Amino acid sequence: MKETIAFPQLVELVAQKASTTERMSELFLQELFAVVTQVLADGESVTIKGLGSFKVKNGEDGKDVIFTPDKAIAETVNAPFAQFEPVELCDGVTDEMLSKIDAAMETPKEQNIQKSQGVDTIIEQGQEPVTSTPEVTEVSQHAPSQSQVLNEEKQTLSSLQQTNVQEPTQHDSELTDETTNRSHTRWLLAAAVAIALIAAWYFFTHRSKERIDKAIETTQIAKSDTSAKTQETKAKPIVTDTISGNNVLFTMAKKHYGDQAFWVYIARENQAQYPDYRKIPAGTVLVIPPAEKYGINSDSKQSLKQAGIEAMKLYKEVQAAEKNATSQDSTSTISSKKITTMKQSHRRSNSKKHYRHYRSSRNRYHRHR
Amino acid sequence: MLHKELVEKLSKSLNRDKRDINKLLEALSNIVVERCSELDSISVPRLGTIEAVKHNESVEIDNNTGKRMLLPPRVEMKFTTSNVLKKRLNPQ
Repeated sequence: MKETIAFPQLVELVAQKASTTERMSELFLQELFAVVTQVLADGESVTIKGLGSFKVKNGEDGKDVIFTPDKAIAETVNAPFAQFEPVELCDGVTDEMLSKIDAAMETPKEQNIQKSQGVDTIIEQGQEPVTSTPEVTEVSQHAPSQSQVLNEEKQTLSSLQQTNVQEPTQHDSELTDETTNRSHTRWLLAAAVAIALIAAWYFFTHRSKERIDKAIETTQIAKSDTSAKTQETKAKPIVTDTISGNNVLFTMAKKHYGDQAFWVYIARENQAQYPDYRKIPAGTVLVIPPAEKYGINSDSKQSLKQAGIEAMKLYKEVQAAEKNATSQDSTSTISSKKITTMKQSHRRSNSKKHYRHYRSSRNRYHRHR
Repeated sequence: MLHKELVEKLSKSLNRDKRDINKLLEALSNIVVERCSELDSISVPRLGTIEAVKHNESVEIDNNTGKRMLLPPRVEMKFTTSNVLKKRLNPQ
């Protein structure tokens, strides 16, 4: 509460605080203020520790005293609002809104107080309800003290700062419209995102299903193929024949394929075991491949021609392999031959030496004689 | 005049110890703080009035950035010079 403390009251307070007599306090204060007044009247400045400094400055209306409070005092006095800092206003906040908020702060008497569910709600005309603590309503009901008013304002300011700066529109219809628009846009965005997610989920699941179906189909086809092949193989068992004096490749081909020109395919089928078809010993069991494997058809000239080409190829391969084998053998034989010739030449040279020696000795003998 | 000089002068004129003067000055400053925190004013004859003034929140434009700033409410200490002192300062 705003109260003016006169000099006698101040004397009492100082006496109580300093634990001295009122007389001493009065003398002290009189002397202090007289000195300060005299110093200021002389145009000088006075600094009192813990209180502040008084300075004389020239202003528009002449000289005046300017008081600069001590930093600690200023902070202590402004302690209820020390936690607040200047805040940058949003573009949507207008002066009208702020004036309405000021009116709401400055006219608590016009507020209708309602109690609901243990929490008092303060409702202004044409404004949305603002919740407050029960302490605030008690203060508004009775004559509030200054500190209580400060606390009340502090609370209301904190709520108003939040509403003004962050969500600046609980008290204004325009701003409520903006907030509703924002909420609508948010909802629309959320719905769009949800639809997109559902579409993506459906697309991927559908595609994966298609892939799975395709994979199942391919596996089924493969299974059917393999089963068909196995059925074929089961239906057509492996045919074999034995080499003998009367039963050679030509006769086998004529017997199984209808023409002797297809002997090459029997040789090819058993090439892994017997690389040279000319050196297959008698009594050997050979596998006779099915006619479909090599496209054997005795009625087709093309098939016969192809069989001739294949026979030439096989012949050349076998010839080449034989040549390689013989060349390896011949290199070894040449080396042995060379050795023998060298030995022979050595012997001959030795015999020549002996002959020369003989002749020379004979000549010496004859000369001696 | 500095605090030290003021204390010496008061101790001489009142014929009291500097400790007592300092104690009385400390008591005075404490009372000023307490009363100003309650938004009371202290009236001093022939000198003036020391009071605490509450400023409501206000919107001001920052000169550097040009942005509108919501300044919070604040309580400031204010000294109002008495007419007697004003006349002494401005004798005309």
